[in-house]
Amino acid sequence: MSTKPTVRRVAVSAMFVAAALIVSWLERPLMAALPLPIPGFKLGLANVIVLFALYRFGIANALTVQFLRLALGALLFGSPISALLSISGGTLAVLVSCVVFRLPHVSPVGTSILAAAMHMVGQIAAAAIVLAEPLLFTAYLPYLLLLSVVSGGICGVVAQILLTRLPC
Amino acid sequence: MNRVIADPSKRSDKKGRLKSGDLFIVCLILLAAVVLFLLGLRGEAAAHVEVTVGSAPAEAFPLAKDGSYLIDGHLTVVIESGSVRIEDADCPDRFCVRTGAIRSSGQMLVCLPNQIVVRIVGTGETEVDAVVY
Repeated sequence: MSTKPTVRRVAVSAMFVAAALIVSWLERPLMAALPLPIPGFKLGLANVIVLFALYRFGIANALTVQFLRLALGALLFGSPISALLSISGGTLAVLVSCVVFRLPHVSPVGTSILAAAMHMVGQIAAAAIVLAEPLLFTAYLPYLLLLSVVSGGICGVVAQILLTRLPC
Repeated sequence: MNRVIADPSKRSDKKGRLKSGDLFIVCLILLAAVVLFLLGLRGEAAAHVEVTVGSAPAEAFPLAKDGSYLIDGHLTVVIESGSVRIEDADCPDRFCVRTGAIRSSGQMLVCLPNQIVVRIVGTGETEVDAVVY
């Protein structure tokens, strides 16, 4: 896995960031339109792109794509609060992913599930700090963790497919 | 980057292959969810009445159940329809009795001469944000 910052690599990374932004923007109305029991449930499909970058181009690249897409996403969409939550969750998720993805017996699906769970933890932690309400951990996190297994699993499978089929 | 595109005839390249570490991760997450949930149950106990005598550990009584309890031989705590009051105190000014009934967490009845504090504890809804004495 070469990590030379070639021009091609820079261009591809920029496309990743753009794709991640588009995907996360489209995801919300898309998920809202589906008859889901839980309103506001997001698959976090943008994480597929970051996961792909991690496995294909390495830690530095994945961190760059993630932080860029979080920052731009925060500036473009949503309120300061939602920005804080998603940055907290996304940062923790990508950091943990970087640590875990090279472990033996862990596949992209596992990495993705753990990342999704960490994303929830990061969000709840930020919310608990802002609201000064530690009860959030026991009131919401259990259910969010269960959901994260589903969303992380789906993202992981999609990432796995891309990793095996995309030549880039 | 000369990565070979997946060869469908090779089993290891099939999509969505899971490894043992993945299962471990999922189990870990599920365990965390269960633990957090159980921790939440404990803190979520129905509002109850906590009585402290001096610095002794508190005694707790359920707020939902009507009852009267003699505390330390000095006064009686009466729980009735979700409110708490003190009756029959043997202190000189009987301030605690005169305070009347309390209903929400954060409120308390104090009998200073007897060093008895009766407070409501729990995650019940409070009508006021803070009470200043």
